[in-house]
Order: sequence, then structure tokens, then C-alpha cells
Amino acid sequence: MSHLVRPPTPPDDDLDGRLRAFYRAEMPDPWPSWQAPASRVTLPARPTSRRKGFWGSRLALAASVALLLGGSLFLSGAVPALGTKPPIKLHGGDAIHPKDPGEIPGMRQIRELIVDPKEGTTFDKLILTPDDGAPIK
Amino acid sequence: MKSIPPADEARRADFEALYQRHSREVWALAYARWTNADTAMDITQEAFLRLWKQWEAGETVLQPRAWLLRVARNLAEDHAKSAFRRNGTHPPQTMNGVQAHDPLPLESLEREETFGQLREVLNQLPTADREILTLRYALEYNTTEIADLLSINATAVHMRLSRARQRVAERLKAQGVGQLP
Repeated sequence: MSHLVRPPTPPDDDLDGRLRAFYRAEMPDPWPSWQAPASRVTLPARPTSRRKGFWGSRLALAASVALLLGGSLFLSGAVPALGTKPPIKLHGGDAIHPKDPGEIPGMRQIRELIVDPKEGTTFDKLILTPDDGAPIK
Repeated sequence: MKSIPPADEARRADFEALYQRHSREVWALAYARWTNADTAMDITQEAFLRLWKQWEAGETVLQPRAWLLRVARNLAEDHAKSAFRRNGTHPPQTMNGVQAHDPLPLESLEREETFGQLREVLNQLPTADREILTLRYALEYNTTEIADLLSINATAVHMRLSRARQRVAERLKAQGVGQLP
């Protein structure tokens, strides 16, 4: 019967042995085998076209900007709101109303500026008179 | 019983061969990042599952080894912050091949303690050091194989390996770790 006598191991070999033993202990044993998934894996549907997505995003951006600008203009009053009457313009008491009858043959127009002393507001009073006679109010 | 078409069977066999060829390398890189065997195996299986899905979708992966290593690195980096860490990205039934390795056999307490200290030392090293040590000592790769896998030259492998071993030795010595039982 023979005995193998190991020579004293240098420190480096000891380090190799330690590292080898450590890593071998860490590795899974037995190594797991691969088993493909039973059912066919379906990938989520991709967009049919990248360009479509590109233009879609650009369109959404343009719409957002337009909406923002439109909203700010609306709020600032630069654009008249839908369904409201055009404003009556007052220039030196000369009110102009869209329903101003204009020139009527045989009639004369007299305008009077009425001032409401309580409210401090003014409005235009239109008086039509026949060319020959008394005023019709 | 539903039979598997020959084409599917051949494809599965091809994939199994690919798995046998590269899965340990993928595991080694993931292990080098986290120093955790189970996490590394999860990442390995996830990387291969993703490659399988590519095959299933009919997409060609020209260099599957490089693809797998890249995906595994990304998965390892994302592992800390992703939901994959908590739940995985696929339901459990799709992970048929996954099984955690059995618990370590009962070793002596001294041996466990030494491994624990070694693990602690390895955790303090840069990932690059751990990669080269894992490839050398877990996979028993030689210089050429390591150089090929890490895309570096043989001289760099020697240098990195030498420095990594030196760092391990110094730290172990500083901790007063004795001989392995």
C-alpha cells in the first residue's frame, strides 16, 4: 500500500483551489436542460408601419399646438365667440347698429345721443321724419 | 396526443444544442454581475427564452452567441430596477426549463464560512474582475477562450486575471482567511 504525500502547496495554488472549489459549488448541478415553451409564443403585434406612427405623432403634435393657440386667442378676445352679436361701435356718440335702416326714400333721419345720467352710458336714438313734416317717433 | 411536426422537433433539437453550447457562458456573465447563482440562472433562462421567441417569430439571429451574451448583460444590468426581478417577464408555465439547483450539500461549517468570506471578497471586486475569474474557475476556460468571449487579446486576459487573483489574495489575507479545509 502506497501513500501519496502531497508537497506543501504554494499560496497561489491554494488560491486557485479555493476559487475553483467556490465556483464549482456555485454552478448549478445538474445543469438544467432547456425545454421550449409548450405553446407557440406570439409576440405582441407591431405597428404595421413606422412611418404611419411617425406621421401620426406629428399630426397629434400639430393639432395640440393649434388647439393651444386657438384657445389662447379665444380667451384673449381676439376672436369673437360664436353666437354672439357683433359689438356696437361707439365713436363720439355716433352709434352704428347693424339694423340701421339706412337711407329711406322720402324720410329724413335724425340721430340723438342719449346719456343715461344714472348709469353713465350712452345710446343712440334714431328719429325718422318725413321730409316735409313732423317727426315720427 | 398531439404530435410535434418534424420541423418543430428539429428546431427544438437545434435550440437545445445551442443552449447546451452557450448557456454556461451566459450564466457565467450573469453570475459575475450579481454573484448569485439563482439570479444568474433566471437571467440565463430569460435570455434563451427571448432567443426562442425570435426563432418562433421567424427572425434570424445570425450570431446567437453574441446576441445571447448581449441580452444577458442587459438583463443583468436591468435586474436591479426591473419588474423582472420581482416577477419575471413571463408566466411561470413558460419557464419549463427553469429549476433552481439543489441546495449545497452539507459541507463543514468551516468550509461554508470560507466560501462566505470568498463571496464577500468577490463582491468587492469590479465586475470585470469577477467575469474573468468566473470564466477561468467556473467554466475552466483557457486564455484563448476567455479572450474570444470577452473580445480582448490574450495579453489583456493574463493581465486582468493576474490582477484579479492578486486582489482576491490580498483581501482574503486582510480578512485572515486560512487554508481551505
